[in-house]
Formats: sequence, structure tokens, C-alpha cells
Amino acid sequence: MGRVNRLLFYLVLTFFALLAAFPFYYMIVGSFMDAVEIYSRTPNLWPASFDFDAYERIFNNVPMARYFLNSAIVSGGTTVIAVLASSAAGYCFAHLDFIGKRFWFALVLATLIVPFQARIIPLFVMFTNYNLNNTYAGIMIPGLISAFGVFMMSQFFQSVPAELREAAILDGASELGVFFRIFLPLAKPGVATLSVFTFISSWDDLLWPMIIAPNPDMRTIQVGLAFIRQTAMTPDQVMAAIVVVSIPVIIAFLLGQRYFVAGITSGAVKE
Amino acid sequence: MAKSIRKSRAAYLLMLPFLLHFLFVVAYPMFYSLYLSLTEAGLNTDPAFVGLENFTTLAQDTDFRAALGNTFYFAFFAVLGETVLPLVVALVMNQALHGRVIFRTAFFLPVATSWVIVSLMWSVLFSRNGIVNVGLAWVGLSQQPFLGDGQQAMWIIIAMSIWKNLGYYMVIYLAALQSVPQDLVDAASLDGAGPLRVIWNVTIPSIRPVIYFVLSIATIGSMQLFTQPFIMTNGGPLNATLSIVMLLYRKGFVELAFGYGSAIATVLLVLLILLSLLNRRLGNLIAH
Repeated sequence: MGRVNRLLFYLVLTFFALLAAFPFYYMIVGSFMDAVEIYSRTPNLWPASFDFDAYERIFNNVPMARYFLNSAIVSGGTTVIAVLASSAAGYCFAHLDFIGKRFWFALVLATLIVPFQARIIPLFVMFTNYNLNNTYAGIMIPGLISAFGVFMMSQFFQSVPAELREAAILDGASELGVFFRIFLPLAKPGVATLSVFTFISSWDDLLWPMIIAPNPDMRTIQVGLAFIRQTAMTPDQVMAAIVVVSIPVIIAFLLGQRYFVAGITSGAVKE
Repeated sequence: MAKSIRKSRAAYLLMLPFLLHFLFVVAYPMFYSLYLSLTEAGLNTDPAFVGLENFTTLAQDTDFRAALGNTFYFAFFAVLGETVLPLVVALVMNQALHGRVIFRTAFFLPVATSWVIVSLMWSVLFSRNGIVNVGLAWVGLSQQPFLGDGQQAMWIIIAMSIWKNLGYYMVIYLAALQSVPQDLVDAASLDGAGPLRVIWNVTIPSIRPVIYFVLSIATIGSMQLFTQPFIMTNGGPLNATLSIVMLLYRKGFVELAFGYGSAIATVLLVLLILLSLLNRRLGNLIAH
């Protein structure tokens, strides 16, 4: 690689990286500015003084803690159940011969392309009939198991040797025991990947929680933010809300990056 | 045989949560939706069968036509950008460079952030008195209406969507690039091919299936456009950014027209199935 090429590469990457990061930088500095600074004629990229007014207003006017709690309950619960149920189903598809296996697996693959919106109205009607509006169960149930998760875990379990199961059965273990005591513990990397993935997609969801749980007490973070401009009137307050909500997620994301990357690429690239 | 039944029993026990969920939350609502699309139904009125009336009304509905056109317009350019740009960045990132971790982290920031948050961010940046307009005026250019203008609002949503997904698809391409056989690349270089020729003739052909995969999931994702216009423009100005799912939301959950809303859902489902088939054909065509 020539010196000129190398320089060109760094320029391209730096350009894109700055483009990717600038909005985040501006949200942080902007949240400390006042309206006069934000609207001034010369662009301000650093606050004249660090003004925490916007943060105070956001915490006083918006029930951020409640939104966080709701999101944590919904996403945490969804993740635990989704990972257990998807692993169990994925294990069956990978290692057990059972009646109707091909049929069910074809259905899993078929539902991969069915968009959630195609059944959102009936789900709303059903859930309303069962009085699940404004409940955690109502928000969680549609996302509890995904075809993607089952497919991913079945791919993952295929890489675990089938001899392990046969040996354990010979030693007198039950089929359920084999799954819970041998295969599930071996699946830790897959479980971690699916957990990160499920948690993020549940945390980021807007449409369904907004429809089924519009009650202010039951709003998740995303729903609360979608209506933030009703209470946060100025741009510095919107930016402060963005910063408060993003920082824990970005930190968690960067820590779990490895698993997230594994999740993204698991569907695309086969060895 | 006895063994197979024993195994079946264990399998169905393990699959029970999945099967229950599948039957009650996936399969039944799917068919219920198809049925509802042939009825007129509301929150307190029982569905009344109306045949294909919802669909004939849809065909005349100017809002629906706008939503259909806008969604395809958005999807075309967003998918193009999301398939090509991340590949370019991944090809550069795949070189032995310093600071890759820093670059990757920067590209990951938008991926780590929800659609609601990035939409709010860009609304602030591109508001009438926002930093972008201040910057334009500062360098002597005229200020723009941005989200107040239909064409510009659409392009801001397209650009933002490409920006948000760049890191996601980059990661997929990077993983694929790791599996390109190095000896093929070396052989081509020895034959005197320049780096661009190597990329065009060796690298890209060997990651074709992955390019096709990115194309497929970007298409499915883009056709479901909702959060960006919902937060940034509410479909406006003058329906310029109204998408299919936004109209579905309005009809189904604002006007509570469950039958009509389900008809929109059915059209979306059919479109996605058709696009998947088209993508598969395209994939086969590219592969041979």
C-alpha cells in the first residue's frame, strides 16, 4: 500500500467517522447551551458556560426514571423468556428427530419475511379483548419469541456435536436434562448474542408499545421520547433528554459490541 | 419407532412456548388480518363482510397512492445507499490501518442509538434555526426550509437512514471480507492488477451472496418505514413523507378503521413477498 493510498484511506475514514459522530457531539455540547447560543448567527460548537438548566427541567417535567423502569422491565423480561424459549426450540430443530419437524421449520423460515405490521391490528383487537392494554404483558408478548431467534439458535446448536447428546442419553439422562444441563450451558456465546440482540430490538421498539400502552405511566423510553416535544419546548431540553437516554445505552452497547457483531453477522456469513 | 415417539414428546415439550406463541401471536393474527381486510370493523362494531371494497377504495385513495409512491422512492435510494456505501467503508476499514477501533466505534454510535433518538437528533440539527442552517448562513449560503419542504424532508430521511445503518451493514461486509481467499487477491496482484481491479474482479465477486443478503434485509427494512417520518415530519409537509406503515397507523389506530387498516397491511405483506421473490431471482441471476 503506497503512502498516498494510505493517506487517502485515512481521509475517507476520518470524513465518514466525523459525519457519524458529529450529531452525538453536538447533542452533548448543545444540551449545555442556552437558546441564544444555539440560535446565534455564528455556529457555536462549544458552550460559553456549562448550563445545567435543560437537565433540571427535563428531570422535573418528564418522568425519565419511570420510563427507564418500564423499558428495563419490558426488555429484561422479554430477553430472558425469548432466549430460553428460542434456545429450546432451536435445540429441537438442530438435534432431535420429531414428527412434523420439517413442517414447523418451514414455517419458521416463512415467518422471517412476514412483517410485524401485517398482524398489528388483529393483535391490538385481541389484546384489547383480553384487557392487556397498558400492561407489561401486553407490551411484551408479541416480542417474546422471534423466528429470527429460533433460526439463530438452531444454527448455533448445529455446531455442538450430536455425540454429546447420545453419550448423555446412554448414561441415563432424560431428553430435557440433556438440553438444560448439557446443551444450554454449552450455548453461552449464542445465548449472549441473542440476549444482546433481543434486548436492543425490544428497547428500541416504538410502534407496538405506543399502541398498546399509551398511558403516561406505562410509556417505555422510546414512547416517552416520541412525545418529548410536548413537554420539552426548547432544543437544549430535547438534546438533554437525548443525552440522558443515550449514554447508558451507548456504554452498554460498546461493552457488548462483540456479541452484537456476532449477532449481525450470524445470518449473513456462513463458514 | 418407540424411540421416535419418546423424542417427539420431549421435542414438543421443549417447543411448547414457541408453538403456543407461534399459533396465537403469529399465525392466528395473520389470518385474522386477511379476514379483517375484507370487512368493515371498528373498536365497538363487529366486523361486517364487505368483500373487496376496502381494496377498491384503497386504489382510489390519494393518501394511499402518495404513501405507496413515497415508500418506494425512499426504499429505492435508501437501499442503494445502504448496500453500496457500507461496502466502500468496509473495503477501506479492511486495510491494515491504525485506529480501526476508534473508527469502528464512531460508525457504531448511530447503530447503538434507537430510531426515535436519531430522528429527534436530526430534527434538532435540521430545524429552521438549527446548527445546519446557522452553518449555511455563516459560510454565505442561503438558509433552507429542510423539514418544511417535501422534497428536502424526504432526502433528509433517506440520508439519515443510510447514516444510521452504515455501521450495521459495514460489520456484515467486514466479516465477509475476512473470508475472501488471500491467495486469490495475491495472485491477481502478481498478474499486475491494480487495487481497484482486484476489488472489482476478485473481492466483489467472492462476496456476492453477502451483497445480496444486505440488499434483501435493507429492502425489507426500508419498506417498513415508520419511525423517521412519524417523529420528524408526521408524514408532511402535504403527505410528502407519508409512508405505508404511517398510513396503516393512522387508519388503524387514530381513525380505528380496522378493516381498512388491515387492507393496507395485506398490501404491505404482498409487496414484501413479491420483493423477496424478486430479490431471490436477482440473487440467482447475480450468482450465475
